[in-house]
Amino acid sequence: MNFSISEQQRELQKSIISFAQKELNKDLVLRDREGKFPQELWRKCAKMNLMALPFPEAYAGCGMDFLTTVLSVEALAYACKDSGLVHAIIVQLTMGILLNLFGNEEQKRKYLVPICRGEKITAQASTEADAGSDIFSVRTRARKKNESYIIDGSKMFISNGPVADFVILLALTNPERKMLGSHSFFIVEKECNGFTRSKPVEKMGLRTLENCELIFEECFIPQGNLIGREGQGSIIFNEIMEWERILFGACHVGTMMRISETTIRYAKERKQFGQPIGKFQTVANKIARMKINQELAKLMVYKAAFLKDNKTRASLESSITKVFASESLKNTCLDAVQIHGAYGYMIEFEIERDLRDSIASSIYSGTAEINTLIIAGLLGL
Amino acid sequence: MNKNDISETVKKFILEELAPDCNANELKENQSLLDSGIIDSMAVMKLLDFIEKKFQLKVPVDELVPENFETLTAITDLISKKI
Repeated sequence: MNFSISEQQRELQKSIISFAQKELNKDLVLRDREGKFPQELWRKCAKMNLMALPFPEAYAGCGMDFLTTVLSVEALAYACKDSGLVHAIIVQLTMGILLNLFGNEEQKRKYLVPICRGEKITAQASTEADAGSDIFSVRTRARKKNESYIIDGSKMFISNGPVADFVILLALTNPERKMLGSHSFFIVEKECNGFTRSKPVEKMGLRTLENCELIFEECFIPQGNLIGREGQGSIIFNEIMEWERILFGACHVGTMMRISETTIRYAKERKQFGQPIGKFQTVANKIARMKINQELAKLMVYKAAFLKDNKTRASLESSITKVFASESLKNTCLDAVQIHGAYGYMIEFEIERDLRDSIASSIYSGTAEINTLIIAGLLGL
Repeated sequence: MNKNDISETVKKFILEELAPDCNANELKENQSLLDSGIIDSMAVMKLLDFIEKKFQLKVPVDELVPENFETLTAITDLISKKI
């Protein structure tokens, strides 16, 4: 078993880190306060091909394997303190993976190419007011009529929703079926008549990531915008969640690496009672725990990515990754604030923002509770 | 392994892991597992995990369609094509 990463992967990580540290962290306190999506930084990330990494070159992708993509996301999250921006990129990557796996040639040419180039922003429109963890109780309806589908319903808390050029929508197509075979995925463009969006909702953290409600009222979309087969929705959703959970796991690992580095530096420099606070066991133990969690999360992320590269099911591994990485991230951020003391609580020192951003990590991409249930289910319980 | 063996192996898994309240005699070859609720989205994950490990094969994404999991016959056909 080879645990080392290749020279090419290392160089790629270095270039992403250099880019992100130079270009993506300016005025973050102000941008976080304003809560606006950073369009200019998105374009810079697109020029770095960050949204193109795992996709075929035929569709403007970089043709990299998933492990390399994951290493890249880890590097980006390490160097880019704007967790909202990183989150938006992961949404873009995940929807690109959905189209790459299940879209037809025409859909890939029309939608995957602009995803790779970052020319168009996409969002996953699945969650509803009454359908979060119980995702297959979504009620947004898609009815077939002649050469079209008519969409009616609404979606809630949709990341990238306010800025998306098109969304990938989960809708009920066959209410007669119980869960498997009942839902389908569609592409809905922003110009579609009957498709409207609310203003962005104000959030506790990830404030540069914009989320909103989407409303569909007799929205006609062409038949060709069905992704995969009618009734394949739940299968597509489960498959995509494996990839998404691993990507977010990588993001959490990168963030933890940055936070623990910052905290170690502070613990060495900050002196109280005549010595660095890192010499006190109560502080040192917390930092040691950060390192333990970071390394273990990393191993799970890499293992899960390896499985996907080998076309192997990773439902168990991706859920374990997501639960462990997100819980570790929250604990790391909380300990970082505590170790930094009053400074950690001050906005200008940018420690508290990571904590606010981290709280949602055990909510999106499947709550910690639902992922734990999945793990238990896969163990036969 | 012939089709009958495959079918029996899958049936055993379904009865033990997915539908423990179901009687073996009640699970027919061409009974809809989807409409009866035996196979839902969680069960598909478990079934796929089982199939790929037990039979040492991979089910590509373009074969991840509800019809391939509709009945015991459909699942058996899916597996036997790949062995």
